[in-house]
Amino acid sequence: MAIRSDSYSSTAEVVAVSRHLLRGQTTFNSTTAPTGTEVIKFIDRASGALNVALRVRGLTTPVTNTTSKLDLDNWVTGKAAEFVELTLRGAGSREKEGTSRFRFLSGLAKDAKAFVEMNSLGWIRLGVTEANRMSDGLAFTGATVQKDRADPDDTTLEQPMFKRGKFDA
Amino acid sequence: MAGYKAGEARILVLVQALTNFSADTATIGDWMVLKSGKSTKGAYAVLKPGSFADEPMTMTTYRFDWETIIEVWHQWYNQLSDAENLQALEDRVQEIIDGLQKYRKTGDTGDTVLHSEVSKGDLANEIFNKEGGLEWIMQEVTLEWSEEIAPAFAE
Repeated sequence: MAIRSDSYSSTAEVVAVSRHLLRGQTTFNSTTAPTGTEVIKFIDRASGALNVALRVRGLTTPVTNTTSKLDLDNWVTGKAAEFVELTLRGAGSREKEGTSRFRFLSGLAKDAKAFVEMNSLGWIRLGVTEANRMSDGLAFTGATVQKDRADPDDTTLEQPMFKRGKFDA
Repeated sequence: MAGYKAGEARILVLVQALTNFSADTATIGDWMVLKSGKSTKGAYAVLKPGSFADEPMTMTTYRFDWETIIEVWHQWYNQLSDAENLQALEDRVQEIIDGLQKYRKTGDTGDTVLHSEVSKGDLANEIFNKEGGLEWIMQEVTLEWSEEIAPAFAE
């Protein structure tokens, strides 16, 4: 089983920070705890939360810009490694609200959203494309969004002093 | 060759030769081995110096009594029951004791070591992770060994 094509990071990157659980194996596999299949699912789940947050922000997923992807790979590696650590024993069988284990599982989407909000402008400036710009929601009826016009950069034509979307990127 | 370091190196060789330990899982003072994941049994041994004392034997020779402490670590494994995990530590500790007791001179062929024996063990310590779950259990085994040292006097 391989990680999804739209996922970030890799099992090798998670192994690099979780090596102490390998029990003599070179990677997570059917004999380890967690198993290799479980680790792949951890990566996919964290990537899924991240892709959803990216789409909420209007960015094209999966992100392929090589510099921005390093950032995303790193986030998913960290979250997958946290998943792996959660397979270790806790203090008891019952998880209560307020424990870090509970917070992690319930807060994954919120963490992804905060991560995307914090870095999206940088990713856009590095070349990540926006499928849906925030300014699209402000388009007037009958008026073409500036970026969709045929002449937004035609300097032979008079251009507006102000246009929608200037603060998007 | 005499001295603590040489003796400790001999003891390490004996530990690494045991069935469930190896050069990858038994070290002198390298606790990073616990992060290596290289033991199929989750068992590691880390050697460190204990106390020592010396006693004059003759006008020119001394007997040094050294202690080498072997920390025997077992990683608490989710796929085993609590009892099985504890027994695994006990098995590894016994393996170390049996392996070292075979050698009355720590394998020294230079005839400086007078005697060695496993003298004591400490309580098994539980090491918890940040969630409060058991992650490791560790017990110290102390090997006492003595050797005759003849200093090169400068006065």
